[in-house]
Amino acid sequence: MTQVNAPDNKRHSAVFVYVVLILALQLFLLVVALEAFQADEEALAWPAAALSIGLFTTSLLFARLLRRD
Amino acid sequence: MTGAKRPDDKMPEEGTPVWLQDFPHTSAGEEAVTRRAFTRYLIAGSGVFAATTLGAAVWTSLRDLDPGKPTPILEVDNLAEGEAHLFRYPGPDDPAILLHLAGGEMVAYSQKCTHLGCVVFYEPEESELVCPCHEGIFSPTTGDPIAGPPERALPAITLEVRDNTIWALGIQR
Repeated sequence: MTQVNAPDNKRHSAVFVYVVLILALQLFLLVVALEAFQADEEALAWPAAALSIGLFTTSLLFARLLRRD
Repeated sequence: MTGAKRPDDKMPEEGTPVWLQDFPHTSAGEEAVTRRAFTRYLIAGSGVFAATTLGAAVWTSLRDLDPGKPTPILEVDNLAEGEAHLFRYPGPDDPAILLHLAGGEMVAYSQKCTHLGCVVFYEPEESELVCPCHEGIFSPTTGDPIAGPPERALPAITLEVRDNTIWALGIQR
């Protein structure tokens, strides 16, 4: 079995948890945006989109913490 | 049982996690997707969520750009007081409702509830516009929400009577 050194393993676990949390928030924002779409509520759809893009940018920053193969 | 050792009976390597010492079984291909690779898939999913949310916002904005053009609805004589007439405005997929209120006033609204877009209907006995999905209630005279989850008024359609025909001139979102 391949052994990964402990600090990398912990870092990957932390990144994984943060990315899962980000995805959960984005799922909520997607539902908000779709409801805003149904209700023609532009004032709600754009902030949801901006937040979701911000969270995606954050997850990209987390991706940089993942060790390259 | 004989004393022969199985492959799994060997001593665990130094640094092997406790869970793997307690359950020392592996299968072929189990390392095919590492946690690192799976995290990257999740990050790609995050991009898809962001793009979809942005798309919903853009679509919502683009749809709001159509205020409608002057369109005849029906003749004044064909709608008695207290009755409602359903039509499509501003587009063929946009349900709207024209009401002839007590006192002779004519009003028209988009039929899409401002909560989640269900179609509202007119309840003449109660004199209210009702959304059946979540029991939202709107005032037929102003279109304002008076009960239930909706917080915004129904978009009003500007009307005008020309040669005994009711025309829709535009929608105020």
